[in-house]
Amino acid sequence: MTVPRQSLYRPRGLFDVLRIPLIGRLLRWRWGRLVLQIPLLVAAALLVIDGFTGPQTAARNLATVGAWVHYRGLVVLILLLAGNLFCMGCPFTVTRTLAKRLSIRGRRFPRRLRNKWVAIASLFFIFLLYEWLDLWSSPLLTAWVIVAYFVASFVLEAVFTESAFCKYVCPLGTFNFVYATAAPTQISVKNPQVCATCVGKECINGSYSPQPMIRLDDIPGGEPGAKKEVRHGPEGTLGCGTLLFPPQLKSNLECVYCLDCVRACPHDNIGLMARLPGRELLKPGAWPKRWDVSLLVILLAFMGVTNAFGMVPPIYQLEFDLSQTLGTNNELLILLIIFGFGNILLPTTLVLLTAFLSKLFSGSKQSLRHITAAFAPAFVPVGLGIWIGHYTFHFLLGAGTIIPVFQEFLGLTGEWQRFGVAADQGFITLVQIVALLGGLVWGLSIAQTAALRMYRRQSVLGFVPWALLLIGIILVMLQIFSLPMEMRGSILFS
Amino acid sequence: MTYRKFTLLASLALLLLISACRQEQATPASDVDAQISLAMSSNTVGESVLMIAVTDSRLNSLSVNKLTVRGDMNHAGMVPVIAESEDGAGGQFEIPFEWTMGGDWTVEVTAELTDGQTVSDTFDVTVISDDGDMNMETDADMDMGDTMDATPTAESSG
Repeated sequence: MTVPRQSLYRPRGLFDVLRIPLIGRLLRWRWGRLVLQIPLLVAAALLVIDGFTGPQTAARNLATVGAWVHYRGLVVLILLLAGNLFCMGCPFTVTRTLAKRLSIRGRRFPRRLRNKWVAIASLFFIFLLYEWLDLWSSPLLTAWVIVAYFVASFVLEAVFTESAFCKYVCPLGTFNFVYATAAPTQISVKNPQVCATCVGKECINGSYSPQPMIRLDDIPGGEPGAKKEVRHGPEGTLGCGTLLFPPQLKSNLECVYCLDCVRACPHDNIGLMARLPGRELLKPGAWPKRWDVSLLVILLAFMGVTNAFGMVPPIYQLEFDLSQTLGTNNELLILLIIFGFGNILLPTTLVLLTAFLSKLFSGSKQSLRHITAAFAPAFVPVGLGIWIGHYTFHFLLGAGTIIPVFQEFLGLTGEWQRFGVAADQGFITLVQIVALLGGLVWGLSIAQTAALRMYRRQSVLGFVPWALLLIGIILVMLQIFSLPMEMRGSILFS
Repeated sequence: MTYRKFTLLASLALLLLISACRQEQATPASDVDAQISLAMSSNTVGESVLMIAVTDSRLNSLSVNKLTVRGDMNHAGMVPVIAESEDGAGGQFEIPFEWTMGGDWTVEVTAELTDGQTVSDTFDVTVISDDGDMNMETDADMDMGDTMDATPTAESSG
């Protein structure tokens, strides 16, 4: 592997989060990740237990309240404010070491699937399931979804050498990857020259070995002949699960924040660096110029629109009209049509059309793929604004209900009157508007930067189609958020 | 024993302890000869009045000390609407109740009888938003009677 002369995002003057007293030391600690994983593992287990054995009223069960209110509400805020901490603390990978020891022949994930198309499909599938099976109202099904995540993670971890579930499949992780690109932190090396002379590349190869082993490395910039002792052994750390090479890391797109690279590096040369939020969104070359990557980011923003649309009255009229038109009561078919159109066909068509118009107006000779890749980052803050507006709505309405739900889980009397208090509707509306408009302004800024870089003197003409698309998405969301929420089950088709 | 194994085992033990500490909530007696019927003045978002009757199987009114009504939406995180009344005459109650949001609700009615027994039943109700389905069929689980103007009632799901 070659190492660039300077890491792309080596921040100047910004600090290493892992040097913060106590917190940094805890995270760098060999078992630091477990500190986050264990509480989330316990929480996941409690959700499963209550989902299977508790009351099947969604508002009174830990599975549904914990997953669809608190997890969703917190994940979007933490991604924006800190980074991919939920992947860092993911309980589904607690058994990763055991799975690795059971790993069959250590094969890699099939080459044809080593892209984001599977992730797009898994996102589409989980959102479709959410609507079709009314996961939001079923503690039992929610518990089964959690169990399925554990099983899928373990199986894929055991079968393939890289963390295939995290990198290519997990819809939660994919969501976190995309919006972690707006985060104010990123893994980065401190001194690229140290990496250039590093022999073992433990950041990606790991420092784990079944038998103890000692290697002597040259110390970069040290006295001639000076050596550093590098130890490998059963207590070593596995290397990066998603096979990222820190000296060449340009983006948070596939980083699970496990910090294994930090722990494995024998030269203490890797840190979790603070950066300007979303800095990579402005950097050309930070993302691969591939259709799957670009469409993942863009489609996820549109999925935010349809996910919210699924909770307002017009969706039921649409379902009814389609049912009458097609002469069928098959809800899965109806939803496939609605969400297939809204999540895949419509956004893909709009993106291709917008890229075409942008190319036409600007006179650019760049391919549609390159143009789309240049403007795709603008959809990150727009999508994040949509998801924040939606998830914080639910979170602010019912965050306190977790307390009486947990009280009832323990067999006590739930203090609903005391804790079941919703935030003021005016405040919730304000949060939604700020999230949407803030995301739009940020997205337009990114799109404008991309247009200037790509089209130069024709930047305005090339920028306009993308600006109209971004503004159109937000206008639709403002309309959706202005409608009353109305959650129904499959009554139309019962 | 490594730290990691110890931590995992401790977590599992904590989990088992928490789960074991769960106490069975008192369930209403199942051998009480009583039934609850529920009707409402409106099933649109906003203020409504629930008409609840507590009777025996022969439709004779039962004497009730206290009636508690709890409405939960079917989406997690929605704050429940809880109403109580001790003013029922002959097992008949009219309780003001606010449907705070459109959608599917589960309404749990619990009656504490004068003989000390408790009877409970749940009802599925679909509440329509003001901007909701004006052109759609009546929801399947709503017993609207023979005319659209009939007082909405709810069928027990308990």
